[in-house]
Amino acid sequence: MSHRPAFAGRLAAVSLAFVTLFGVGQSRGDDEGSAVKPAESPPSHREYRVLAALETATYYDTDHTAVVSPTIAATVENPTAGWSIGGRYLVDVVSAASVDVVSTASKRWNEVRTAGSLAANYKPGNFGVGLTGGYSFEPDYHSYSGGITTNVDFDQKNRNLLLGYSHGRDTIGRHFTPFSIYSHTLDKNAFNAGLTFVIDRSTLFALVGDAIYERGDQSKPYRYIPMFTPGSYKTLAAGASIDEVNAARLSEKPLEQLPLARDRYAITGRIAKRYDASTLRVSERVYADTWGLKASTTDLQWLVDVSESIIVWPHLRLHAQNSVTFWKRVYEVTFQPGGAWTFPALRTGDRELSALTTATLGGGMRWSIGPALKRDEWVLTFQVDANWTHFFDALFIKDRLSTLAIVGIAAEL
Amino acid sequence: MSRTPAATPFAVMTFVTFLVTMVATAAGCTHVAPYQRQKLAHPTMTVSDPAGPGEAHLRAVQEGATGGASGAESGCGCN
Repeated sequence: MSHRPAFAGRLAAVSLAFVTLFGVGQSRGDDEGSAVKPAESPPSHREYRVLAALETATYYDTDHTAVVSPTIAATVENPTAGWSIGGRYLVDVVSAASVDVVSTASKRWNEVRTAGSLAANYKPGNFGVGLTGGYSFEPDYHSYSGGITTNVDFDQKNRNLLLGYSHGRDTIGRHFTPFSIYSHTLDKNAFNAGLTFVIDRSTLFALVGDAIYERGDQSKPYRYIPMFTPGSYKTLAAGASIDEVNAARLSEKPLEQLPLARDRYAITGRIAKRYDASTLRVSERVYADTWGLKASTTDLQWLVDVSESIIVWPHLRLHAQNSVTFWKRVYEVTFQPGGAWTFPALRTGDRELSALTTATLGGGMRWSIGPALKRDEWVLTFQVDANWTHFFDALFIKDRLSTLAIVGIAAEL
Repeated sequence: MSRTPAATPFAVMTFVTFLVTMVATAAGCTHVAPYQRQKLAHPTMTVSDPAGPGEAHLRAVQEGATGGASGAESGCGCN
């Protein structure tokens, strides 16, 4: 089920759109530069500006999964009037032969996800409102979302309060099967509140709270869970191989079944401190949900001005989480009188719901390549992260190494 | 199906922590006039989520936790 031709077409369309955007901007600049009588021309001051960005992220890990994600974005804004309208389009191309795929005797699969979003904001004074909408399509997964935000400035913009709400609906199906024949839905209601403070002349602090309520069946329709006889957990250690699992498991493999409701809560604090020639950015997120998962995520960037146009930074990130309450490395059946057996009501093979820790070490560079006095009109961004994930209590793999590389260009046209 | 009751006190604790931190932070702030915000206007001075859409989606898929990506107005309010 290869989708590469379709992706190639989309990528070409994205590239063409971007080139067209830049082409239009370039020709306008040329026209202005070649004006025959510049002294008689009216002064060039548009009340709006156009921002465009292109970014490509590539991911590869030792579990044989590769992802390429090009993104194009554009925004038109009028800072004086306080309005902006923007859009973003993203394509994910996933190619996987991970242990989860191989263990079900399946071949490498390729899949394409497309996602788009629009945002409009209006803030003529101290009070602003914003609307967002988005979609995400895969052959077997459709998602729509919409939201509204309001924000208010206080104390000469030394403080800002933001409140937001969004609703999303996902439809989960099976490839090559119409949604009308097989699908289930997942509704998401997300509330968030954010407060930003100017602490002093060189420090910003933000505190963000999120509450996300998910209702519906988000079980994966392809994920079959190996089942074992009681006591098997003693012989199957974390990281047990496919052969070891296949030798010990029962012949029946039921589908994954997750709880039908999940409430998620997160609090994130972010601080940015500007020094003479560098900026320190640190964030900490604490998270918990009704599935029993608790997590901490710490992120640190130290951005150093190498020159007027180049900023480089190291990036450190540490994520740690426990497992959901129904997680088991080895799911065992329960024997009933008469020899029949029953499966655990809740079961999953998603090792991202197990106890794990991920350490990230990387860095990036921001290179302003615009003309003198307008250097930030064109900005190149590079980022490379190496991630090491350790799974404490999962079958098949214990460690995963991955790399994430991002290249982006942003321009004010 | 099942829900973990332990998350309810966590939600309350989270909300209380949020309020306490908010009040404490607000109390510790000094008033900075617009003409004193040169450092705050630097392009690196943002408290929004540094992850782009691709990275954010990747993290959401590979980790059990989510949230915190929105809700902060970045910048210094210089406009």
